Amino acid sequence: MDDVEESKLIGLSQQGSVDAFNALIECYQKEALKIAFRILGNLSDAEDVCQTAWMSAWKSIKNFRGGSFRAWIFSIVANACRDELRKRKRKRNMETSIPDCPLPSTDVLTDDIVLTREKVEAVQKALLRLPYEQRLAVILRVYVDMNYKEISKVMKCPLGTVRSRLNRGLHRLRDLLRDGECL
Amino acid sequence: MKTWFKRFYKTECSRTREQLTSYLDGELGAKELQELELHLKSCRTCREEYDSLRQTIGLLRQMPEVSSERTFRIDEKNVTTKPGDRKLLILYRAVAGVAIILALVCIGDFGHLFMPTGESPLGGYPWLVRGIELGLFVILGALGLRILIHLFRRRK
Repeated sequence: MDDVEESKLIGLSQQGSVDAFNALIECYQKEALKIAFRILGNLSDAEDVCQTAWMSAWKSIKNFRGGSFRAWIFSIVANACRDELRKRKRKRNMETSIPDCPLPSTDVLTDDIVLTREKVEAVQKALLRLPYEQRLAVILRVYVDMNYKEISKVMKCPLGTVRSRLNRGLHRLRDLLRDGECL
Repeated sequence: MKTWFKRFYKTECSRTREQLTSYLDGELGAKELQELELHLKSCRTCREEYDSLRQTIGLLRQMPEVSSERTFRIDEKNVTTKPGDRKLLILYRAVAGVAIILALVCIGDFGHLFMPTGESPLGGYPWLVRGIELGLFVILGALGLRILIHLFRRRK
């Protein structure tokens, strides 16, 4: 979808068109689910969070004042994930964070790394051990291919903070993966 | 002395390590990029650090894609106001109305509208009563107006 078409759909959504908003959902749902899943580590929770996020985006679409819609929508998804994590913390349910990580049917053979089921689980576990802010920065950079400017819009923080969160997050992740003998 | 000095002075290696992620993401400026590449050529430890971060990103990127069979849509049904919402709306309006009426009563009493003689129920402390009335007027008035503005915006 190009920018013109997107802003047309946003305009129609702001006037109350559900169909236009559903077209926007269709465009971004894959990436939104990716973010939610990598933050929460659980597919059904990620799906619920995405549905909640889309609902709250619909309610507040009138407040969208231009700029990157992608960044706006992902910041809503990230906030919904944060609320879910807080809920979990309240329920002291943190041990349920790794249950249904999507696993390859057979081992995935890439350039020089064989991704076994254990490795996939270990990487997801390591991601979940990062502090929320660092995890979100790494996920937005690696899985949604956002540049630093866009990440700073999603996280509502300056570029320097994005840089340091990414740097610390990746270093910590590297150490955790080394401890788990994945690297 | 050396450790004290180290706190305030970043070595070239520590500076490089702070910039490695930006380097990997292609987010470094031309001057920083040149300095970093020059340092990487001469420092084996930093090169190893760079390789390990590169491998980490590679590993993250090779994780299997997540997919869902669920379709995310907003239904017309969900968009229309539910009966529960309507009740809440009535409650909001009632609270706003009561708050504004009480605020008007307070300001009326403050201006001796109900007791023209100026007698105060607290006897020797008329300033206390006037203070309380003024405070209540401000608080209740603000609450009532806030709710009304919220309802007006929602309707819009």
